[in-house]
Amino acid sequence: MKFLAVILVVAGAALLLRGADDRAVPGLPANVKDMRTTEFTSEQYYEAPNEQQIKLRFSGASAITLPGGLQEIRQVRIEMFYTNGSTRAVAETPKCELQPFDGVASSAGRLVLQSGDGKIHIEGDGFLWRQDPVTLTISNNVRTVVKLGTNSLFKL
Amino acid sequence: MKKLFFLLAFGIGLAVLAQTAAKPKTQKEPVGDTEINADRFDFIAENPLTNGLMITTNGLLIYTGHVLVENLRAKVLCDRLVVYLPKNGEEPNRIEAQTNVVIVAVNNGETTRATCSLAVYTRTVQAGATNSIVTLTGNPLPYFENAKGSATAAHIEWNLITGNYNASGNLRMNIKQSVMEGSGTNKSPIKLF
Repeated sequence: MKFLAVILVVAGAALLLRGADDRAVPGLPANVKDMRTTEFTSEQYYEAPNEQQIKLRFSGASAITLPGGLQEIRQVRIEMFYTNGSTRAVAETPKCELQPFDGVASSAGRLVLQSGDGKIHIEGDGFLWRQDPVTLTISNNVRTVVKLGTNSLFKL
Repeated sequence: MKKLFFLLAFGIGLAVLAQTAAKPKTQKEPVGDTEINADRFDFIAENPLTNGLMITTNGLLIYTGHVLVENLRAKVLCDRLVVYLPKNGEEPNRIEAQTNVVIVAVNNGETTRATCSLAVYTRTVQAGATNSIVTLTGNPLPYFENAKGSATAAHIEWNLITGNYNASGNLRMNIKQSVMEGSGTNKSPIKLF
């Protein structure tokens, strides 16, 4: 399966090398003690013939590299799109840990998922997100609200 | 004759998952928002296993553990709820309530209760006409009751468009005496449900 993931460090991104903490971070050069990125964005595209369309965008306000190659992402936003470019769903959580090479994100925190048309709202505590293939598990206290009186239901 | 057609007025609650698609004649009360609570939720966005079903799906929503679907007209309890998402963000064409399914629905002031181990809502479009059906099956036998009586059958099929019910296999019905007493020769034919 053709898979394209692009990690963009947007203009203004800051790479902070903190000397105060002497612990080296595995996977990084020895002189790099900590690495922090702002405006983290990763995008995945559809296969042909829709290879120009973004399938999924994973973004965060900041990313901190943790031991073991994990990244702690703050203010996480996961957006899924249809092949016509319209938004399929948006998931948000305050913080999660991302395994960038495995495409796996997880957190014990709260996740809120909203369908693109805003008619389905799903939230719960603790989640596991896999990027390829896309799966999402919310493991506790799941609550969904479906707004009826419209012509769409479970449009996700 | 093993098949009976009922012209039924009650609404079994799984229809809350398909109300806007079907709009059966008998359901006119406000529904309100539908809330689903469960222990766990899985969203499989692509290439899901469909257990051999010949359907095209754009993903699955799976609610597991103490699932409760509730709105102003109905409650559905089950152990697992699976929503098959069609392509292009259309209405779901298949919804399954699995294991220990309890449906309590209120329609026109009448409460109906149904139990089964598998309730399946399917929606198909043929020649421009939409067909929406809820099928109750499984072991123990599906059971439903309301103020007029109760019935069990191996297979109960409810057409949400026409309001007709088709029950077949090991059919057993209990009609309350008060219903029978009210059906004299000058009365309308009995509507069991």
